[in-house]
Amino acid sequence: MPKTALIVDDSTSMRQMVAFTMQQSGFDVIEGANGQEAINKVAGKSVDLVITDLNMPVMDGMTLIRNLRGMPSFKFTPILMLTTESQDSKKAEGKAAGATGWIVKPFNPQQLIQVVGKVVR
Amino acid sequence: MQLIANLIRKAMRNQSAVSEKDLPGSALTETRAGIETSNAIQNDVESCHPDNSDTERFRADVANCLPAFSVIAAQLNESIAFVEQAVESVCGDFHNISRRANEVVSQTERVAENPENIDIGKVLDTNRNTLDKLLQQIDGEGQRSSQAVQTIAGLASEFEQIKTNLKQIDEVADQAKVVAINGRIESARFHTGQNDAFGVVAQETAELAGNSRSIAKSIRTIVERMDQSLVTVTHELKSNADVVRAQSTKTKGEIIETLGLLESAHDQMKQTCSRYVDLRNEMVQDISRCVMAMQFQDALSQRVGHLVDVIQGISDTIEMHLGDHRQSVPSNENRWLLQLAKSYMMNSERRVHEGHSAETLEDEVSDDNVELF
Repeated sequence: MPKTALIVDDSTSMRQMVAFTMQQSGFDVIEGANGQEAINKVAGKSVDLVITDLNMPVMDGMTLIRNLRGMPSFKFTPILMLTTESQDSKKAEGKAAGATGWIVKPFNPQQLIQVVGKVVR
Repeated sequence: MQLIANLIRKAMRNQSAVSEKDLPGSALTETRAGIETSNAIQNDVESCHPDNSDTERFRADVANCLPAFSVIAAQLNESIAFVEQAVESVCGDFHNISRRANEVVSQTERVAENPENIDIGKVLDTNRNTLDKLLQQIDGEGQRSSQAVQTIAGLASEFEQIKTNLKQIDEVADQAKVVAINGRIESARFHTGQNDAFGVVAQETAELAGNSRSIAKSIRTIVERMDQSLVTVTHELKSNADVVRAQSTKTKGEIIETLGLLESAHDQMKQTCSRYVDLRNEMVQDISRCVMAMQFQDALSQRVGHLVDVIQGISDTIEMHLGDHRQSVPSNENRWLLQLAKSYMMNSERRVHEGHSAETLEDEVSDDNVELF
């Protein structure tokens, strides 16, 4: 049974590129344009992986991570932050919020697949 | 003051003409920051009344805008350079994709090409005809072997005739022996002794019969050996003929099957080559569409370049009007610069803000991009 990835980014083209990469790796994909839309789409479900941008309207990535970690089905789900931000203070904030890893854009598809392979059982 | 406000409104109209969908990632972020700052500047300017007696305060506020204009222009220029570099890289990859597709098709065509216009179907038919002729020759040899067997079988009947003749010779020899015995008996009856003519004839006749019998026996032995050899040779010839016939039939079947497979494989290869050519052509069209789409960079470069020119013009105009009255706070207290810096999310933005060039595209992609907690 294929695994499922939740991809959250306010940029349509970025979502498409991440979705394409994950589908090539055998994942089914659920997309959200912001944190709130993502939460609405996965309510009552569980996914195997979350990849989210940081800076988004309505609900940003940090808030999304905190909300997901508060949901029982997402307590142990790998959550990767995929963002242009590279400051250490932001990374620390992400780690504290519950992120599993931090990837700075632009991402290398091969590298992303390797990272996903490490964090997803 | 009204002139300044009008200039800024004109700049805002030009900026709003840039569609967000034309802008990728980092350029989009920086342009949004620039627009937000410009809008804030516009609001400040419009809130000033020509009659406001706090002219110095106004001059200071306007003077503080000038560094922000410079940074905004630099960020926009760096964004364009960044996008151009990315597009150049993508186009290079398209070129490689296209080159590899052409190479695959060329090699496939070389494998399938037919420089001497050889009709493969005709070649296979020729091979089938040659095979049939070969098998006919083998069958002919088999028939000749069968005829030899029949000829040999005919010899056997001759040997039987010889045996019959030898038997007759034995009978003649037996009769001669009887005559010789009678001669001796008559010789003894008339008391003429063994040396008289009658006795001599009897003696010779007996010897002649004996010799005839011995010779017949010898001939019989030879004939029987030859007969046995003929039987063996006949059996072997017949067996060989049967084996050759069976083997040739089996071989013919295998060769025909192989030729059929070759023909099928050749047809499949031709279809595959044709499909590869079609795929290559479709790929070329896809790449062409991508190249057309990537040309957004050119339009974006022009649009943003216009904005930068206007922003620079505004900045120069403001500076000209301020003249000797230009006073500004240090950059680390300039609220516009601070607002810009607060919005930055990328190291490249921060570098440009500090007056350096942004990192190259290759610098952005490194093993340090990933950190697992």
